[in-house]
Amino acid sequence: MRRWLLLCCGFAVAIFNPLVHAADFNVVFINPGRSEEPYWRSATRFMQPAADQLDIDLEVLYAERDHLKMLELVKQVTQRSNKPDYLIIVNEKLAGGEMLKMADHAGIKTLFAYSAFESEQSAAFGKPRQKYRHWLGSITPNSVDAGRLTAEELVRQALRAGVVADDGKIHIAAIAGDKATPTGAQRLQGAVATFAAHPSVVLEQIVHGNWDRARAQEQAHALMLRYPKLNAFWVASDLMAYGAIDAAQAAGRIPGKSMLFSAINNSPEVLRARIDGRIASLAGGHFTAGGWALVMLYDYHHGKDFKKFGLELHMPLFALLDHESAQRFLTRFGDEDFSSVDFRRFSRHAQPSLRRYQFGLQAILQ
Amino acid sequence: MTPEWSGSTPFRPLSTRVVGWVLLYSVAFTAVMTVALVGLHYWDERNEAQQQLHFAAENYRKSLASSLWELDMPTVRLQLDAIANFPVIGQAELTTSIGQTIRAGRYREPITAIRDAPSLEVPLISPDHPDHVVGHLRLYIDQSLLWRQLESDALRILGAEAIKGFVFGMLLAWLIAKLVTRHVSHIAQHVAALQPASLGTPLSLHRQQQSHHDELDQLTEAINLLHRRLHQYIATQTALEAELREHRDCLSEMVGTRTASLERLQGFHGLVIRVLTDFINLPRQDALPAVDQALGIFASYFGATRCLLLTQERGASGFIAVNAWPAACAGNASTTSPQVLPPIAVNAHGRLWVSTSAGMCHDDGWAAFLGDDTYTVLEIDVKDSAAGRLCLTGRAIGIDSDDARLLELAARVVSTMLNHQTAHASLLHTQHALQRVNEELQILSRNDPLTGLANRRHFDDVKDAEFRRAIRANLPLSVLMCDIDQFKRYNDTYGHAQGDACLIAVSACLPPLFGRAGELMVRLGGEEFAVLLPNTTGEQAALLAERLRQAVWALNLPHAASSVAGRVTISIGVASRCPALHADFDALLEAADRALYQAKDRRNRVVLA
Repeated sequence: MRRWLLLCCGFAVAIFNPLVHAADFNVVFINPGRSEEPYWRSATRFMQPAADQLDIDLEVLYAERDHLKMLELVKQVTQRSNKPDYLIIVNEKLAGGEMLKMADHAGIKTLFAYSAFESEQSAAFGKPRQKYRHWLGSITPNSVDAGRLTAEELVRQALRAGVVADDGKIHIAAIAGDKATPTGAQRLQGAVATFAAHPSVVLEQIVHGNWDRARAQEQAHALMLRYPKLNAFWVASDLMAYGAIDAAQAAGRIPGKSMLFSAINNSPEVLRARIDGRIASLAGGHFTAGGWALVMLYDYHHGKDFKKFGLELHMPLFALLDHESAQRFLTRFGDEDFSSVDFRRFSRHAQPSLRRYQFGLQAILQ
Repeated sequence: MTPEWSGSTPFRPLSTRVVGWVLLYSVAFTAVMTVALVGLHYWDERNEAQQQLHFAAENYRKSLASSLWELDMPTVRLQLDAIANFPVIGQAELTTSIGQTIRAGRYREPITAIRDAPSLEVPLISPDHPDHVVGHLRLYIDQSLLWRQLESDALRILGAEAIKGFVFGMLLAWLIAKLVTRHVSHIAQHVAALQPASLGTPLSLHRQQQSHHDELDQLTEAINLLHRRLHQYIATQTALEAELREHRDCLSEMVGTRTASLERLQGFHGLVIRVLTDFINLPRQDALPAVDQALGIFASYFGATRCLLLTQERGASGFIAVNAWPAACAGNASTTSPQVLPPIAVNAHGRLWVSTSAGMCHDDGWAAFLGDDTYTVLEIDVKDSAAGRLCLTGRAIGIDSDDARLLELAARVVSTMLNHQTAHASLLHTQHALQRVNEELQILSRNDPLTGLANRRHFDDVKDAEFRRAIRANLPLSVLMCDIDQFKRYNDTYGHAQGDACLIAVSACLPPLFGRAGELMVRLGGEEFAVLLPNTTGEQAALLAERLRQAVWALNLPHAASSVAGRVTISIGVASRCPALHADFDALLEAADRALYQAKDRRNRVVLA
């Protein structure tokens, strides 16, 4: 009855206003970042063609890196008379729990993307669709992968270029993100595990740059002074990598030659840096999580529940971007227009033959 | 209100001055106290600030070191800001081991004043590498804050001390005004109102009765004492003035009297000198008339009817009137019986007895003696013993009057005269005594003291002269030599005292037998006697000797130890001068001695040579 009514309404809107696309269902994405921030901007840019292609009415609300504002935004959304069908939230700064509570209380189906509950939070909130019935699940990139990939590549590049200290070892300092966000920790975890496994690597120190370029620059400057033998920086994000590069250049080091940097992201700037060699090791693709979340909601909405793959999907969204793939990415998505990606190809509803989700950067680059 | 002050200086109440001084001292004290307290506060604040520095440094040391190690510079800055937010910290400076310097606090830049401030520096050590110093934290105390606190402290202390001083000063002023100056002013008014004519009432303080007394009470008492003395003094003064006035009126009269008295005195002195001059070199027989004349002069001077000089009779208790004026009276009352006059009438007035008709003296014996109720008797010293009395009849001289002193002088003159007289008498007496003693001495020198017979020396003086006289006159001269038989035994038997008695008794037999002129009885020594018999033949001498032997026998003096008889006996040798045989007396005496030796053969017999 209600569905019929909605259908009629949608039909009426479509008839009376041809400019307004008659959406299948609507989704609100609470973006924790700023609208102009490369990563979160690219995330939105990647979600938008997916929504368009999948007939989803996507509304993106930016929290401007303020987790209190995230809560405020969720509260506003839950208080709306015309509530959205789905809510995509990020467990940024571990604020997901509160948002979930509000959304669940309002009866809005919620999906975590990018980052989900940490172990402690999981214990408190349990599993999706149990205590919080409207919590559908989560899709998160395997951040450990990102750390591992970039770390391996950094060591490989260093060994290949012979950027080692006089003791024949690669002295590496790690500039991680922040301690609170699980993604950052996971990336660091992958990197540290890789470095530890490598006998020719000396991991001098780990610092947390808090995703801040200036801070990373300051830290890189200090670390270079503190460890004169330093050969490489493993950096958890592109912005912090830029800061580290600036510091190295200021200290007379040449990025890619006497000092190597690794970064994680796929903004055009960092891709170009990867191409011109300033960044020696780069991994990206996690920005796509939002787009994949829409695909999952589309399938769910159309009866293809992802329950059989697990409610908390931990997908290998990261991919190492070497010179070639970076070039390709830049060529294809340099303007951050991901409309060329056929999202329906990844949908089990649209592609009933699809056995399982094959989300990932590699998939869209092919 | 206040008593007028004659000086030109203005009046300033004591309380004002005290308050002034108290305020001055309290200002000085306040200043000193403020400086001292502020100094103490400053040190306290400084120490407190140092402790806070330590506290801040210790609190943030680890976290800061950790943040710095992890290069979490925002956190480092936040922490540094937090440290700098400690009120005492002026600046927190973090110097990292890699050469960075981060400052936080009210002064972003290093300021010299801050640099000089007390500071604390702690090293920051990496939490992961204990040997890695990641930086140094240096904290500077906000000196200006300290100064500001010091200022406010100083003001507070100054204010409190000033109020204290002021209140104390006012309290003191009030107390002084209430307790002292009010009363002092009152006393001043009271004293200022005092007039010699009207001393008014004694001073009393207008305050409640107190159980104790203080300086004001002492002052009041002193003033009241002065008040009383002044009272007395003024009364005495008034009396004296009255007396003086009285005296002034009769002054000329007194001067007249005095002049007359002096003239009289002068006259008396002349008189005394005249009397004494008369007396000098006065022959003894003229002394008594001279004394009489002097007494007459004194009697006429003192206006007495009679003047008597009484001297104490030696060995008697009465007086005798030696001299008198008029001289006729002397004979009449020359002697007095001791019953009539008491020897000395002891009187409180000493040496002067005065009797008037009114009966001043109670000694009626004198009145009867002198024949007049009115008399004056004066004691006279003669050789320091009360030996005489000077009596004036018909005249009573006052004990303390000038005449009494003059009479004393007259008495001395009389005393001198009496002394003179006495000295004369004494001299005569002494001359008689000397003559008598000389005679006695002569007797003593010629006689044996025990027996009273002539002694050997006298015998020796006489014998040769008698012998020569006998040769010249061709007269016989005999000599007896006597010896008491066995007198040694007598002495041994009866003792020497009895022996002496025996000698005296035997010698006493001699004088009755030999009483003719020229006969000399001698005790030659011991129990030996000799008798010189001029103009006596041997036969006559032998007869006399026989009579002597018999007289001794007749004495019957017991002599138990005698071998002759039971009594004392004597043996006598007699020799008579024979011109052929005896050239000198000694030869004669030798012959008598030989005869005595023969007599001694049988004892108690006479042998003639």
